[in-house]
Amino acid sequence: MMAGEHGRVLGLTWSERWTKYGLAALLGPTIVSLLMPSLVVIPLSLSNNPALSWPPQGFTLQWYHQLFGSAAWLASLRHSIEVALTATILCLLLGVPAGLAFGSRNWRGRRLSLAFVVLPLVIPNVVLAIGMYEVYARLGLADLWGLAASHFVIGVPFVVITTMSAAKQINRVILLAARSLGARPVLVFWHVTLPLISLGVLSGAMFAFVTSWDEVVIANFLTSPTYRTVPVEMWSQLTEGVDPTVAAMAATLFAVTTSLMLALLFLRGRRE
Amino acid sequence: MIALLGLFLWPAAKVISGTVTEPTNIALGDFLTVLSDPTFARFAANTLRLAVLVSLIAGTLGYFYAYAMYGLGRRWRVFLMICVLFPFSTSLLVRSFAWSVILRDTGIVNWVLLHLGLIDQPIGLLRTSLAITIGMTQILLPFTILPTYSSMTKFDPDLLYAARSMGASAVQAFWLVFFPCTRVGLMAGLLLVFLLSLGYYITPVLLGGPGDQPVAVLINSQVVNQLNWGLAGSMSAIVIAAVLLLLAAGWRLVERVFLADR
Repeated sequence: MMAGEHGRVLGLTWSERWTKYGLAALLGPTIVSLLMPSLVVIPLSLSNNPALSWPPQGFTLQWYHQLFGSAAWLASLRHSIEVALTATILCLLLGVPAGLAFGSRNWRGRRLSLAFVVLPLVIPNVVLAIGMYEVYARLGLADLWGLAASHFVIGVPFVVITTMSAAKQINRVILLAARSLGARPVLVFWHVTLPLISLGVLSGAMFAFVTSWDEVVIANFLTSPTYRTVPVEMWSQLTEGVDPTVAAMAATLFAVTTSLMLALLFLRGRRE
Repeated sequence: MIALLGLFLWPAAKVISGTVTEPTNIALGDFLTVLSDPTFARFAANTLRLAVLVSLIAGTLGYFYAYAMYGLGRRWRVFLMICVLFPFSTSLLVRSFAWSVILRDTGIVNWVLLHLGLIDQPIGLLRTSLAITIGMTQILLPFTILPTYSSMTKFDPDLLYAARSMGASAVQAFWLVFFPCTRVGLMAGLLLVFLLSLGYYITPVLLGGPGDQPVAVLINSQVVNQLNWGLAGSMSAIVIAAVLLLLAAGWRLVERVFLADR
């Protein structure tokens, strides 16, 4: 085990050997349990055994064939993409200006408004779902628009927070310079502000997208049987009786989200 | 900009007011019914027990994990960071489902224990409150590790040298200097984990037994099975009140650690 630069002065030294054992005993299981749930579905989705029991037996792609041959799964996949994209666009359209307003200056009521924006993150989704069900039914928001609106509410805090912290980093002198050189506010926003906050906006957008993509509880309330998203489809399968197509779907979702995250990391790495 | 802000606040307001004002069509008596109802009390006790247990475990493990990240070398740090972020690649639903596969009688845990000869027959792990606790702790652990680690990176290690040179033992230096300086991140993480675990629905349903379910499940079943919107509304209002109180109490912490504001 490598000794860290701070290791000597920290408590880590008082009995090197015991510290090592302690580290291994606590960190080992923690690391395993952090990684295992994401990975376990992959071998099981390729296993011949329909009971999802360990260890996996044989190798088969039949669950994937079933998955991608099922009209219901394919429709839910399309719905999920529609909803997540619409919700993300709504989040960007309204969340970025709000984030800029929070990040660029101090105004009366700013703290309270910020708390208000963050609130949907901590209010239990079941509670939100019940309220939305009633209110949206009255407004006539159903299926795509109902879901997109609700996912906008739970996704927009991410965009606002990431945009806000990106906007705080901007040196105001740059904006003043652009203005004094004759650029109109729109131009300043487009050519100066936006490029400077783009990374924050991008990570916020990704969080909003993934939030919508994964959300089950609200979607359960707001979707009709003809307009289900992937998590809703999955949830109904799970509560009715599981077969490995669910594992195959889980593995597919894992692949999609992981590639999105890697793409973001790559972009971030290229920028820095 | 400010105008757009108003436009954006409106839907959020609508939703929240929708939930809060929903019980208006019923008498205040419903609140009393809910509060004196033994079923609600049992589910509420489950919720609180889970939230406290999960926060305590996630806090302890999380602090230790962050400490290891801080104390170990660069390569280990990167590895541990990847391990923390990795679960975010999988949704809460999929991870709860995966835990149900791992913990079932024919799952990995029982398989390993059987092969090690520690048990003769599978032990029932699924459908217990232990299973819910394991699942929720795993899902919420990153939320204590990340803020704790971030407050540790802001710590000035010279303070420890100073403490040691003044005669403090390593243990004293840790408890009297290092821990108090890095407590903010831990507290913020604990607050977040506690708040989030109050509303868990998916994980308890998939991993727990009928006697271990939290309030969120009760609210849902009131609406879906009993069509009792009034009671569900009153329960929701109680949950919202609890969340708001906690959030208001810890708002400075949230601003400082999560929003990097002030």
